[in-house]
Amino acid sequence: MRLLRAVFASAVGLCVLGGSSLAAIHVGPVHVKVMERTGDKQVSQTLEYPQKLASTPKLTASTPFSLAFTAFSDASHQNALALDQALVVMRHASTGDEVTLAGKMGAHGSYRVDVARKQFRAQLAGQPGKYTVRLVLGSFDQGALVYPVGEVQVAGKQARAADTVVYGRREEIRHRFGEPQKMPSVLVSLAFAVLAAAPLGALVAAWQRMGVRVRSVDGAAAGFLALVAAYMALAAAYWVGVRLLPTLAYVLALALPTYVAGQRALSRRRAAKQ
Amino acid sequence: MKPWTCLALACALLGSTNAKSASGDRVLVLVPKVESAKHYSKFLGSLETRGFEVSIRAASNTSVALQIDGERAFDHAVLLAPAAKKFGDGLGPLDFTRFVDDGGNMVVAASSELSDFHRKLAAQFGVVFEPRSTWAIDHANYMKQNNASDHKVVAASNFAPAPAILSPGFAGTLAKNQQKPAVYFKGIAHKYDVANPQLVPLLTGAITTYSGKDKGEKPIENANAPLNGKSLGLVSVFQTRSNARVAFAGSTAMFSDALLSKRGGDNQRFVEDVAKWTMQEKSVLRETGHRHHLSETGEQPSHYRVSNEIVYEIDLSVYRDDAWHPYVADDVQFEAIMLDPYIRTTLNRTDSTLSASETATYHGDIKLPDRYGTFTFRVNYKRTGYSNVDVKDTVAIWPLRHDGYPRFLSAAYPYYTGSFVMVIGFLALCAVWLFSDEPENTEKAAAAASKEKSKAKNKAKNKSS
Repeated sequence: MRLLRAVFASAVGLCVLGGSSLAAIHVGPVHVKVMERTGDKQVSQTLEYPQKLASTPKLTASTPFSLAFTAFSDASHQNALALDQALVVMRHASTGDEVTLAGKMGAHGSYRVDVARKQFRAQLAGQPGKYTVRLVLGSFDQGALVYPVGEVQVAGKQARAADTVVYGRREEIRHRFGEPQKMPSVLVSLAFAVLAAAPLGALVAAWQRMGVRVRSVDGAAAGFLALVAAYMALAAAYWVGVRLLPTLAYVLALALPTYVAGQRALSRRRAAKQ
Repeated sequence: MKPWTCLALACALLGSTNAKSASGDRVLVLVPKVESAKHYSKFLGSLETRGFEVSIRAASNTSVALQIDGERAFDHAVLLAPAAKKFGDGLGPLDFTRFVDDGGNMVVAASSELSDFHRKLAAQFGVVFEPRSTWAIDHANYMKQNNASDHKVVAASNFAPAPAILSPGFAGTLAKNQQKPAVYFKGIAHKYDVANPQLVPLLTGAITTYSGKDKGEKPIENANAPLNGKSLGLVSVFQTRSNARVAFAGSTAMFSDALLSKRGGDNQRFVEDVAKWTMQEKSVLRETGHRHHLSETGEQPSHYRVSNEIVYEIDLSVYRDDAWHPYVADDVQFEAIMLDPYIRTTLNRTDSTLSASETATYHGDIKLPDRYGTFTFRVNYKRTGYSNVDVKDTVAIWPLRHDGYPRFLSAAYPYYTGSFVMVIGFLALCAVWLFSDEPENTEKAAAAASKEKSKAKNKAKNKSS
């Protein structure tokens, strides 16, 4: 059984190192603990290489995470090995960002990694999510070993993304144009237009009742009236075409004839009255 | 004849060849001693065969000058003397920074014996080298040779996905059964500024790579974890806003003949890719023209009106293989900005009728916003590895003319009717007043006339009597 385990362990090590030489570093039982603030253990598991964590413990600032192990230079775990590289690398599952924690050597070949509150806040809390945890061990003499220990869920509040320029296609922006003004029904407008025209009819009716009659048309008065009508037409033309300067030019052109025609028409009328 | 003399001779012979670089062919190579250039004969030879005019100088040579009379004396500089504390006649890091600001390109190779000069120079570009006498070490991925192993010669294969810089073998996805390329690196690692998009960590460490002391040396006393994995930079490249390019490699050895010719490594190809990119032989992007006009009339007015429909066009070329080619992409974006972007839209490529055209034209049909003011039409195209293209036009967008607004609204029919009724009523009143008599006035006139008649009759009677 032990032989089978050793063969399997070697095969995994070979696979992890991507074709490098057989790992000559051997790791003893790995003790993984996640403690509650009260001192209760949330997770406490001892892993035999290449065994992985059975569950995904949740790490918070108040639940210290620790990992302890001993490295050996032989498969029988007789000779403890002082490593040149003893790291725990936590890689964020979605972003791929890595957080590296250094193992502190206690007794010869025994290492311990602690993620305390300060370290958690500094390195992990800003980017919560699922992390894969790997033990990366290396020695100039013995080669390297990468041991995927399992996964942990880091709780925390997503840090605000830094205001950095990111190259690449950016989200398109479509301008939102102003909504067209809402109009009442055309029938309503027409009804009010008829109401607005009604006083004209009332005026004509009043004149008829009063017996107002148009006598013979005087030429000078007709010309004056035509020129006044031309002014009205100019006002209407300005309203339609909204051309101020041409309108003013026509107004000036009509001024003198209107004055003359008005003088003649009004003087004749005065004479007629006398 | 010594090999480096052959090299210098080859330089002189090949000096007249046209370089492939888009920015010039004069290369200054600074080495610890001129004799040490022989260690880099393959790298320098490849520059010469590509048509560069290579000038090899010792770092201590006091005649070395980057500028003469305010003009750049060289187009590119290659620093292969990492231990040198100064170059030329007191050339400092700021002189090299100014060289880059003026458009010069630079390859800086470092090693574990890195001088403060290099450290300060690198820091200007967001690259922080590890302490002196440290190495990039990998106990899993290293060069194996004749049963001997040197964990300091890292077989690095963590390449940045930057197809504009690296050839497809490095940057692309691997085919089945294709071995991952590895570059042998022996030197010092560096930290790089992750937040700086101008800096691209081209080659980084694997999860097993870390920065540390050599075997038998006293390890660094540091409570923090050593630099390792993806955050450990081996080769990084930087492109300035003015499109000058700088490459930082923590290893002079990777440029040496010893590692370039090593079997199992892809140093030759990688170093060539880095040098080609840095010396502007590839991925140089330029804008050859841009224009905008009203889509209806095709004219370009001095100002637009709100909600005008316009056409914006831009021509882009890319330099590679010693020629300009049309730049083909699907992410060229146009922005209309007034403080904030009001419009950002992706431009479409116009099908070119000319097969030999050097440029690709991108166009967009854009409806301007219904806001007036001074806008900037901008194509700000920045992509990893490519030169920056930032084209800006300041354009005035005016409000509609007083007669440009919608007219004859149905809601205003009563007002129109009221106005016309008023006009007609006024004219009718005028006509009535001019052409009619008041009833009272008629009676008075008749009475006056009869009075006058009776007076006349009386006068006639008096005369006759």
